[in-house]
This record gives sequence, structure tokens and C-alpha cells, in this order.
Amino acid sequence: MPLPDPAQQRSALEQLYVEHERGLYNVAYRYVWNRDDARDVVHDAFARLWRKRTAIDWERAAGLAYTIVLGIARNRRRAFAIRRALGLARDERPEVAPPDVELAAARRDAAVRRCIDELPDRLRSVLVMCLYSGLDHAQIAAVLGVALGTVGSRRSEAVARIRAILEERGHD
Amino acid sequence: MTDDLPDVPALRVLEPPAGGLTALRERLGQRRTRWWLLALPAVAAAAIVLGIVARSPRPPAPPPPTAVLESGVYWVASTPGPRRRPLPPPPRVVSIDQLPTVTERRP
Repeated sequence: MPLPDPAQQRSALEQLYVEHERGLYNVAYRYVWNRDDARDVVHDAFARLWRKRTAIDWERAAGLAYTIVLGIARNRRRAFAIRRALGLARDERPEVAPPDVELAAARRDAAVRRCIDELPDRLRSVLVMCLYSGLDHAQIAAVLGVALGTVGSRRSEAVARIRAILEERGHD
Repeated sequence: MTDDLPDVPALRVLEPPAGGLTALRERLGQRRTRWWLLALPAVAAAAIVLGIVARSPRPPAPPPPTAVLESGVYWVASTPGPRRRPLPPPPRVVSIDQLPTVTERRP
């Protein structure tokens, strides 16, 4: 239910941030593949939540936060694709695997990133939400606006597709 | 991580950078600059300037130039016709007194 007191709204927002920062950050990161951008996405989402603070049902705010983060992350991803097509951005994101990872593992890591990138959004969103959000399938279904059974089937489809791509490219 | 997927850094859970809540508080404390609000006074100022310019008296327009043909001015065709051959010089008329002396006169 909405909170009338600004102090309560502020407290609810900060509590929401503390509880879901990691999940939101990890979901955003799998869209933008850059730590700074992922943090910006999360902060943009909380700034939007703060602007709508008087109308928010704070008991369901976590789902709303994930919905907003997914929307902003998709938009950034789309904008990056356009800039890359216009030659205004580099083809590869600057972040790569950590330097302590050996070459074969680094290649495998890059291959997995490419696999996630190549997934259609309906599969990627379900996969990253299942892996990182900490929400149960019913909550994820509500966030994504799909049926409960669809979450499980899309997650399985996404995993199967990633494994198939990795096997095809000799990374399994 | 899940056992369905390979254990690679791309899939591992990342820790968000430290100080996220502090940065968020700073961001929420900032006043947003709504640049589109500046469009309203800008449009109003432009309308006032245009109104003043439109109402200011203008100098009377000079009368349109009229073509006056003066004597001695002749219209000629702008495109000349085909060039004629030069006319042969007219025969020179010489009076008999001025004829050259070719023969002697006999008295």
C-alpha cells in the first residue's frame, strides 16, 4: 500500500535498495555487460521509483523495481546496438574476463556471454531473472507478464539453447 | 549457480560496487533540472519580440520604378539577327572638274 509519509517512503526505498541491489545489478549486468552501466541502470530505476513514490504499493515494489530495471537495460542495449551500427561505439564491450582466468577459460567465458547475447529477449529475461533475482517463479511471472508455467519452460529452453550453442562451437 | 550451465565468470553472481546506497542518496538529493521548462519562457520571449517587430511602423515603401522612354533611347532587340554581308562602298561621285588629267587638252 502507498505510504503517505515522505520519511517512510524514503526508508522503504532504501530498504528495497539494500535488499535487492545485488539481484537488480546482476540482472542489469547481463544486458549491458558493463559494471558502471549496470549500476547506472539500477540507480535510474530507483530514481524513477522515487518520482512515483506516492503511488507505489511498497509491498510489491520489488517486482516493480525489476520491471523498471529490465526496461531501462533493454533500452540501453538497444541504444548501444544502434551506436555500434552507426560506428559510434566499439564492437566489443571493454569488460572481459578477469586477468587471472586462463586463456581457454576466458574463451569459454566469452562464448557463454555471446550465447546469452544471442538469446531472444523472452528467453534471456527469464533466464537472468531465475538466476539472479532471488524471486520465485510466481513473482518472476508477474514481473515479466507471463504465465507461471511459461517461466519454467522458457528457462529450460534458454539453458538448452546455450548448451547446444556451446557444444556446437566446441566449448563444452 | 545452476548445474545446468557451465561455471564461468560471465554467469557468476557479481557483487555490486561498494557505496551504492550513498551514491543513490546523493542522486536522489539532487534537484532535477527540467530543461524542457526553459522552453516556455523562451517561446514567450520570442513571441514578444515578434509582436514588437510586427507592430513597429515601417517606412513607406518606395514607388515601384516605372519605365520612361527618353528621346534618344531606342529599344533594340536583345538577340541580334543573322549578320549581314558588308555592303559595298557606294560609288564615288567625282565632279568633272576634279577629274585627273589624263590627256592634255587641246586648245
